[in-house]
Order: sequence, then C-alpha cells, then structure tokens
Amino acid sequence: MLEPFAASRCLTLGVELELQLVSTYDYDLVPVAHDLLRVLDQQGFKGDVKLEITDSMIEVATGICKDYAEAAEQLAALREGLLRAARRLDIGICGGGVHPFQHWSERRISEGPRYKQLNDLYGYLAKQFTVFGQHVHIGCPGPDEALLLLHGLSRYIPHLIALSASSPYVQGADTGFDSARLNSIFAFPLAGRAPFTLTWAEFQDYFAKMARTGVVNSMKDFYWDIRPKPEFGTIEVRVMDTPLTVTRAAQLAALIQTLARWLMIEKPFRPAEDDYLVYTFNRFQACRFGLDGVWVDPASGEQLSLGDEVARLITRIGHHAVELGSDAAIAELAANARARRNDARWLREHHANDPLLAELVRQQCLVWADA
Amino acid sequence: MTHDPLATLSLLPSWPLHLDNAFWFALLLVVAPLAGEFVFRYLRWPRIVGYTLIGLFASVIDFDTSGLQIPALLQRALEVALAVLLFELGNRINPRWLLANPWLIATSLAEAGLTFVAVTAMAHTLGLGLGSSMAVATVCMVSSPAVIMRVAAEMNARGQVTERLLLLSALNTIYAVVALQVLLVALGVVDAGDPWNAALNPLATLALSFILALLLASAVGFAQRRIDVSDENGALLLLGLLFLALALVQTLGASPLLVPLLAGILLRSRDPRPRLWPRHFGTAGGALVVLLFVVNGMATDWRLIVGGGLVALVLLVIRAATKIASTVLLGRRSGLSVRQSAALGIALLPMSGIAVLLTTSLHQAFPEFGTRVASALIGAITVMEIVGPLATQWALKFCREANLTRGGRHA
Repeated sequence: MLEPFAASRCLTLGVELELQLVSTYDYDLVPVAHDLLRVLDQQGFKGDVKLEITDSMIEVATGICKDYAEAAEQLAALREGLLRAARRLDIGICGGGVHPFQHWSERRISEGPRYKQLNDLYGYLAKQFTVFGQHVHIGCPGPDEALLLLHGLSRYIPHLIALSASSPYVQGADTGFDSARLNSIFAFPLAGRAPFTLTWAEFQDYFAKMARTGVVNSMKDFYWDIRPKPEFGTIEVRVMDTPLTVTRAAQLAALIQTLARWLMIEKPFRPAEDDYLVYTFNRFQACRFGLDGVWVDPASGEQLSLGDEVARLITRIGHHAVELGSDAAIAELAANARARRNDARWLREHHANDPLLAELVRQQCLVWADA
Repeated sequence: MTHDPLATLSLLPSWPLHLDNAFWFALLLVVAPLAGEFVFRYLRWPRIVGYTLIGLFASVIDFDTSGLQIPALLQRALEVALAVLLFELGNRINPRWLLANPWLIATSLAEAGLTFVAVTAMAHTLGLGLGSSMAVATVCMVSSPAVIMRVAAEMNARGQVTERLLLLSALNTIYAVVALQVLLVALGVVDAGDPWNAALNPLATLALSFILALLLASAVGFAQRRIDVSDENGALLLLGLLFLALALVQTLGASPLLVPLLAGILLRSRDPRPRLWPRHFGTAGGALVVLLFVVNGMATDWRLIVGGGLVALVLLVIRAATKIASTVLLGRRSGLSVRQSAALGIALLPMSGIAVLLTTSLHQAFPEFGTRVASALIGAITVMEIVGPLATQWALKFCREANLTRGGRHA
C-alpha cells in the first residue's frame, strides 16, 4: 500500500544514523542492541533509538529540525546519552559505513517478523547488510515538489557519497573503494535510482504496477538512493556512509538542506531522464575514488574532478546557506573537498600507522566519542 | 650358565608385557581428545566434559594413580596451562567497567559473599569447626575460570552475560585466594604463637604476587611492542615468559593463581590497544589446556561422590542457590534482563581445578580439616566437573549468546 503524502514543513530536516556496537576487548561487533536499549530506558534517556537488522547495530534519529544548529545539537545530545549507556555496558560505539573486519556469517539477525522475512528472502545478503548509513529527510510542501526535488538532487549523489565515504575496509582487507558499503546495497534487486516520474499521480501508477507483480508491498521494499517517504511528507537521501563523527553527519545534513533550498527556489535546471545516463558512472567513481574521482556533468558532458566540483557547488549555493545558517558548516565541507580529505582517508592514514584493524576500530570509537 | 637359554634366543618380549607409565599416559592422551569429540558431536556437550570423564575413568579403574606419577616437567606444563587461561582471562577484564557500573561490584560481592556466608553457616551447623567451615566456604566461592573460559571459547559466546561471567569468575578467584591467605593468618595466629610472623607471611605472599604480576605484565608488554605475538614464534615467547614467571612463583612462594591473573589485568589496563594473540597462545598452549582437564578429572575420585553423600549435595544446592539468587536480584539494576541474570547465575556454577588445588592446600595446612570434610568437598567438586560445564553451556544458549556455527569449526 502506498500511503498518501503527508504534509510537512518545507525544508525541515531529520537525520538518522546507523551505528556500530563493538566489544572493548577485541573491537569486533557484539550483539548488545537490546541491552543498550534497556539501559537507555533505565537511565531515562529521551531520544529515538531503534533496533536494526542485526543486533550489533542501532539506529538513532533526530526529531524534525529547522536548521543545522538544531540538528547538530540533537545529534550531540544523542551521542552523550548513548555514551553514558555504553559505559555501563563496557561497549564501544562508532561510526563508519562498514565494520572493517567483522565476518558476515557470525552476525545474528534481530528478532521480529520483518527481519525474519528479510532473512528468509535475501539469505546471506541480509547478513551482509550489516552496513551503516546516514539517512537525511527533507520536508517537502507536496508530493510533486518532493519528486522534483528527488530528481534534482540525484545529480549531487556522487558529491554526498565522496564527502561521507567511510568504508574502505571490508572483512579485513582494503577494498580500494572509499565507500565499499554501497556495493553491498547495490546487490539488492530493488536498489538504485527511483523511476523518472515527476508527478505523484505517475508515481502512484508505477507503484501500483509494481505492487501488482507482488514484488513490493510498501515503500520500505525499495532500497533507492533517494526515495519519497510519504508518511513523513519528505524525501530521504540514503547514500551516505555513517560518518566517523556526528559533527560531520550534521554538516552533510546541512549541505543537503542547502541544496534543496537552492533547487526549490532557484530551479537552476529542469531534471530530465537523460541526467541518469551518467548516473551510475558518476556514482561508481565516487564510491571507488572518493573526492579524487571524476564527475561528468550530465548537462554539458564535461569531465571534472569531483573534489573541485564539490567545492565549486558549495560556493555556488553559498547565499542559501547564509539564509539557513549553515554557511560555516558547509564551508568546512568545501575545505575538506579541496584538500581531498574524507573519513576513508582518515581511516587509511590511521591504518598505515598501526596495521591492527582492531586498533583502528578503537580509534573510531575514540573519535566518535570526541566530536 | 644357569639361565634359561630360550630367553636369549627368543626375540619376543617376556609375558606378561610390562607396560610402563609412559605408555598409559600416552594412551590417555589418545583417548581424551576422542572422548572430547564424541561428547561434542553426539551429545553436543562441551569437549572438556569428555576430557574430564576420561580422567575420572582412569581414577575409577584404579589405574594405579600412584604409579602414574606425573613427571615434574609435565606438572609444570599443566601449571602453565592453568596460567595461560588465567592470563587470558585477566587480559579480558576491564577494571574501569566496575567504576562505570557499580552494580557489578555489588553483584560480585553478593554472589561470592553470600556463598561464603551461607556455606560457612551450613557447614558449621553440620558440626564442622568454624575455621574449617570458612575454609570450605572459601573453596565454594570460586567459579572455575578454566572451565568458563573453555566453554565460552568453544561456543564462541559473545555478549553481556559472557563478559560479566568472565569478570565475576576472575573476581571470585581473586577473593578466594585472598580469603585463603587471610584464613591462614586467622588460624595461624592461634597455632603458631608468634602473631607477627604469622601475619607477615600471607601478606608477603600477596605483595610478592603483585610484584611478580607487574614484572610479567611488563615483560609481555615489552615483548609485544617489538615482535608480532600473533604468530607461532611470538606465542612461544609468551608461553616461555609464563614458564619463567611460574618458576619464580615456585621459588619465591607467591600465588600461582594470582600472578598470571593480575598480570593479564595489569597489561590491559596499562595499554588499551587491543592485543589479539592466538587462543591459548596457539597449538602448544591449546594441547596443554586439554591435558589440564584430563588431570583434573584424575585428581578427583568418583567414590567420593558417594562418600561425600548428603553433605556434598547440600553444599552444592546452597552454593547454586546463593549464586543464582544474587545475580537475579541485582541483575536488573546492573542492566541485564531477568533471563540474562538467571543465565549468569547458572553459568557461574562450575567448580574445578582451582577448587581441587585450594582443597589440597587446606588439607595440608589444617589437620583439623578432616578427611570427611575434604571428601565431601572433593565429592562436590567431582560432580561439578561434569555438571558445571553443562550448566555454563546451557546458560549461554539460554541467553542467546552462543554462536555454535563458528564454535564447531574453531574451538
């Protein structure tokens, strides 16, 4: 069933983060999600924390925020609450898109009918789905505006991937990718881009046809990079790896909000199906090479360095950032893009200093607790 | 020439065959792993139950235990095996956790303290002197860290119950060793007539143990900063350091239990960088650990199960009740569910090698500690050598922390 598109305040934002729960002894993932929720509850913690598909991960979410400052503040409060509960259980919490050396066969699927159904359907893919992403919701005034924003933002998916990439290591080895997490997601049959429909009526037609085939039951069955979330009245950007710090997560959310404002108010271009000709190429470049990747401008066909293009884009939308109060936050992203610095690079540098991956995870826990 | 000319001509050995201890011992080493695999594969029991059963069986058929003198070097090797397990255990303990979650200290003090008080009261009621009663109670505090480490490792258990199980078992081992020393002071004062010396000796033992632990921790820390301890050569070096430490323990009269355990704890708390050496320090250590359980089984005597009779049974029931009651009562506050709290109490039940060790030393220290008491205690331990690992295994499954898919492959 496709719900009706709920009303939401335009350009409000919400951030969801999937986080890793690790042992402080060997820094491998540890199944303590239920324990963490119990202790949070005992400590009277007020905040949105949920179980995820395997029980060594949790998902936290902010409420509806109006700007960067509010999102950053809520994320910091969530982090402090989680750290307090984690100390009681002697566990570590960290960001990063993939745990660098966990073995997928050892993961345990959470209890609950939906997870059981996913496990039965996808088999080992469900366990391999122990990956950690950041999702950002942007409030839209109506469903048609939501679809227009969705296809407008698609051009900038590579930018967001490269800035957030934090999953170079998988199952104990360097994959060569900055974001190897997305490779796990592409394996799902309903992953990728949303169909090119610019009105809600067309989208309803598409959904009805898909539902008739029995392949999908709800929007949750689509693993698209950006998908509409009718019950919230938002679109949800889902390509980011969970950054190593909540500060970076808030900055990325600020960038998406600023892009949305620019696209909604200035309408700098009309989205077209042809934009998607270079979509998978651009996305691959961002996953593989991060800010060093190549970005092909879908309009001009020009090939640019992604790091430079990110910095140029941020300059171009600067006045919208000033309006939203996110200028300082996204200026920092621009500086990082120019220096080609992202979390994947941070991880590789630390790993070069100390080849023990367990120590790398410990460093991830320290940096997450710090900023 | 008076001797039988046939004897010199025959190439056959004389009959009956004279098989020496080395042969029987070797046979034991062949049968033990087979038995371990048998109980693991067909009964889904922990392998160590198989090892222990073989040891027990050897003592049942009265297979000349006196003749089976374990060579001194092998004896040392077994002590190293226990030290390996205690060192690994210590290295998994994070003392800072106790500060972050004081209800853990409460749980630990309650489960060991209540056990001590209840067992003392019971033994005293049954007519045992107060000193002996406390000695029995001291032995009953310990939850065999060796058994718990092995079963948890074999099941690849991960989670809150497993972590707390290891922590509580390390702590109650420390309590028992310290309590034993205090007990020696208390009773020694009465006997020795020289209170000064009597008080000083046990204190010196504890202080010395701490110093040796510090030295061992420093040596291991020093070694692993320079060579890779995750390969076989590095693991051999670690084993060597433990051998060396235990030799010093023997010479200086420190506690062979406290030194490796404290060394592990000190090492981890001084440097938080995770250190992942192979389990039991690799194959050599692993083989010694198997042997440890066989010898544990041999050290006890099945006849004492019958001999200890009712006393042994009452001891075990009281001990189980106090341990489980403590974890259930305090579990919720320390952040566990009721199910997990019960599992933790049940998993804490094993009693084994360390209990035998403590009983023997008590038996030597106090003449009053009569054979009847010692038999009851050894009887209880013998039962727990079989029941204990099963209890821990069941409890870890009950709280969903077992991960047998991998345990079957790696343990």
